Amino acid sequence: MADLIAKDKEGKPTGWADQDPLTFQAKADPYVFLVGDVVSGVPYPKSGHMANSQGKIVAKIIAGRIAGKEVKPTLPDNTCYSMVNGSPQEAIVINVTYEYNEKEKKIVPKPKAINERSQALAKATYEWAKSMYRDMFA
Amino acid sequence: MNRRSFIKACSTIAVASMIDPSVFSGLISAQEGMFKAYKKAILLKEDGSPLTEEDLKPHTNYIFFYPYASTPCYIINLGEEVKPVEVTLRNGKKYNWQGGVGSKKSIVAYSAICAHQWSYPTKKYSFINYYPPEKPSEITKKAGIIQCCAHLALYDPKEGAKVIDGPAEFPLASVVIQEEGGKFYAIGILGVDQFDKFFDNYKRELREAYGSTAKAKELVESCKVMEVSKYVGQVIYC
Repeated sequence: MADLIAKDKEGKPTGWADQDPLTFQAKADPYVFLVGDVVSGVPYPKSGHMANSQGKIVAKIIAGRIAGKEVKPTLPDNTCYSMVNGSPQEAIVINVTYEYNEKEKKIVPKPKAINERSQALAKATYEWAKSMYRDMFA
Repeated sequence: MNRRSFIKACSTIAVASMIDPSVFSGLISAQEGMFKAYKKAILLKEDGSPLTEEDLKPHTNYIFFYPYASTPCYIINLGEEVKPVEVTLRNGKKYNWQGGVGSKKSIVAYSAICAHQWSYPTKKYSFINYYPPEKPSEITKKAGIIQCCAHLALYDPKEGAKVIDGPAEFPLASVVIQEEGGKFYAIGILGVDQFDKFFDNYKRELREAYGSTAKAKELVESCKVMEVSKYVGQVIYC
């Protein structure tokens, strides 16, 4: 089996995947894709929304490959609501989109956030979660 | 289709539809399956009288239900002419969005079911909303957009509800509105509607709200239009 684990400068395994930052293909085996918390070398949070977003990118690449088409990978996004108070329920939210800097070959995060906690955002937290559950399990 | 031929085609449709409104739906339906005609339904005010242009305050979000009794749509007077555009989907398929209606061609209407994960305005909350110019989104700082707070899908109501940002794969479906003698009629849906997924995902909620799935799926012949803030308990902006 191909070595899917990235190595540090000293050659020691980092414990994280060694994958292409755009296509999520393992560098050691282009037939293997790695998404979610395992990925490395990318400025992505280890969150459910992010894993879901990466999964869809990979699905399109694989579907394109089956159809004999080259699919240009898009970049994932991440929205994360955090419930920061229980009674009354209050939440904050962060959203990060990403841009690829072709010159520096670098993925640049563009974060946006509402750090002022509110009960309205707490209600949105449930909608955020329910929508994701619908996407994954419906 | 280049810009010149597109504008020419839109002008032809506009002139022809003034003579015979059915020409409009006929031409739109020729768009490779992107338009679906439903029952022609008149838009009404809350008191049951026909809705007129003057009843739609600029940059105010109004709700009505079309083509089914349970499928919410937004109608917004954007305050200035909204020109027709060609909408290109991510799969490359294209269709011609008709632009605004009314004397200023400023009135647009879209399905209010988010094309990402089908969040929609209920009697309790609306997470998908129009953000007028004076009320930009706190998180994206954008105004004049329709934004869903669930995962921050952003749509441009001036451009056929094209996806501006966020995770949605498709634009919001457009409600095709026809004006006849100062009255407004919904005649069909243009673009990729989310109705099947909406009905699949919200079976239980719709049964509770409408008594049965059949009632939720009844096609309407008239639509009462009201401000979203009057219909939902709390409009959630983000």
